[in-house]
Amino acid sequence: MKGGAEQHLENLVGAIQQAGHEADLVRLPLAWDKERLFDAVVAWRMIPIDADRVIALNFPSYFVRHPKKVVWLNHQHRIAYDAVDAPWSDFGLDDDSLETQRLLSDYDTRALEEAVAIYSASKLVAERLEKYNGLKATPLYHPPPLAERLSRSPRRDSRGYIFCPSRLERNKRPQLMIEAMAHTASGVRLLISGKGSLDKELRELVDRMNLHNKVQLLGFVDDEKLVELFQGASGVVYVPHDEDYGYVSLQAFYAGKPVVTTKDSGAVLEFVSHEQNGLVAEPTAESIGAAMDRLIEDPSLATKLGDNGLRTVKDLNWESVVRKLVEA
Amino acid sequence: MGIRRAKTGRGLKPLLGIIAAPGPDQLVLPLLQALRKWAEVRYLDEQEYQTAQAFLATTSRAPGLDKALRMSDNPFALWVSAEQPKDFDLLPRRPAIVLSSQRDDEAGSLFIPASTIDTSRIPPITPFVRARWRKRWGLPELMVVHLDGSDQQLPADLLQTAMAVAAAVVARGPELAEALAWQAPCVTDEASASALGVRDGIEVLIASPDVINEPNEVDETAASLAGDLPLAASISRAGRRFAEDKLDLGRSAAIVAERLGLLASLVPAGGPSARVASRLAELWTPNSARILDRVRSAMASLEGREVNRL
Repeated sequence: MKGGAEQHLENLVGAIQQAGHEADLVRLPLAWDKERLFDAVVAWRMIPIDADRVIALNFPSYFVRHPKKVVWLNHQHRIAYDAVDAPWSDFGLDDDSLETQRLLSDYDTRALEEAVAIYSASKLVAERLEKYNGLKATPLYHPPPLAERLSRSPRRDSRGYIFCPSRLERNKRPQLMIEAMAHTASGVRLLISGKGSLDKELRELVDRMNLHNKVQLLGFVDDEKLVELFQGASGVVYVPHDEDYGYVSLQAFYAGKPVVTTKDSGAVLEFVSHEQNGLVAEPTAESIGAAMDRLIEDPSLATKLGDNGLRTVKDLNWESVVRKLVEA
Repeated sequence: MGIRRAKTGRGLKPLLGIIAAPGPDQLVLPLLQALRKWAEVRYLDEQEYQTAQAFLATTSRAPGLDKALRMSDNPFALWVSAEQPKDFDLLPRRPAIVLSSQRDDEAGSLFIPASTIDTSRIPPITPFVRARWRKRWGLPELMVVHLDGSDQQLPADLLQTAMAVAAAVVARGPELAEALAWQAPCVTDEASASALGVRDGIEVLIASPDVINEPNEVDETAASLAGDLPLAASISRAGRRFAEDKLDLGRSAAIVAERLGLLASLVPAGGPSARVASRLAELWTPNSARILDRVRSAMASLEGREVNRL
């Protein structure tokens, strides 16, 4: 199952080629642990790129040296910055962590200063860059994967479920969505597709909370099934913590479906507005459950929000993105 | 044409010939000292003109300059001062770089600071990392250090530590340069800012006269800066870059050495890993950084430095 970043890269290369340019994707592996964190930085620093321009999207690829380097920043090494206190961060307050953070933030700033232009995936990513590195970036929104297929697919009557396609990882908070189902009374069902490290844990959670009649973990589904699941949903729930962009919410809007999200979901809130095209709940199981009930119990509201969602994404297109990146 | 080199422990240094008029501008002397890092620097007699890798003339009217430039094609740097006319158009050829102690960007000359700040010895520390250090030591979140008053009672090493972790620094006079080099978010006065050439809202925050002289008022301004992370990050970054580009004599000397081709002629030490190290040097990697050890270790077997083979 491809993650959002991987799909983004492939779609970007495709869009650039569609615009008539030659484009190649260069990828290098990365070790995430502190000890080896800068190894890939060195590798990128040494790679000779004989191209008219390079577009770098993530840490550490923006360390590449090129006179026409454009950065379209998805995210930096977040566990050293805004996610430093998350359970999955290996940065503490010891000497080694602090010196690595110091060096990383200085390295990042210098490498990004080399760019002829800095764009960001969202306003949130731009805000983080300004806060941690003192640099400005211009948000540049783009369509999610399957945008065209979803927008061309016919709207179907709701089949009484709320859908979420998601990697089953802690930062996406799938357990919160499942816990929310214990607080629903409308008879709504929750369908979650996707795989990840929390798969077993989530199935155990469903067992423990006796939610078999309300929650279905579908595992991996192909694109055709994914489109079908969007079409038949009453709405989409997506409650990641501090997300960089939020493909799932955009995909929901392309399918004309409202989104339930939370106040701390990050850049998702740059597109979802409470009672305009979705419902923004508190990040609690009770509040999310109540929002999901609302969509089921008030189909006209769900339709109105979904229609507004279509309008939210109508101006997203790859042509303008490519033009900005290539002409910067 | 012979090229004279002086031996050093790491390689051979090229000869940078100085061509001077009597009583050269004193402001050029620290630059000559700094250039010794990359070259043998000394005054030349006429018979030695062809042995120099490059020249530095302390004035366009220096005796022997015209002859030196006709005898040698090697690049030269020209120091210009406010008192001397900029008539280098009369010289046989143009200088590779023009140097001045005056900030005159319109003339395109490289500004050579009188400052002795060595930014390579001062690790830049962003506001975010400063906050992490303060958290580790249980220091106040909005810790402000004053370099113009009571905090100067601290011992020098503690004062430097305080500058390294402060959320904001109030600095005036010569201390402002060092505070900028530490990448501290700085509040200062108009006179100090003007003396260095830093700008309000860009590299520093300038407090008005009725604020800067009132302890409570200036504390409030500094605390406000400390609490505005994006602004603190932005001006401290710009402040550090200013210190590197405009206040660091060593860095200016490196630019001069590079333009005169002195760096390229040094015999590199360490083989291929030297190239990697130079790429990391572009990112201001400190000598103590673990990544340098990792590079050396990774390259050891390729460079025949690996002793134990399994």
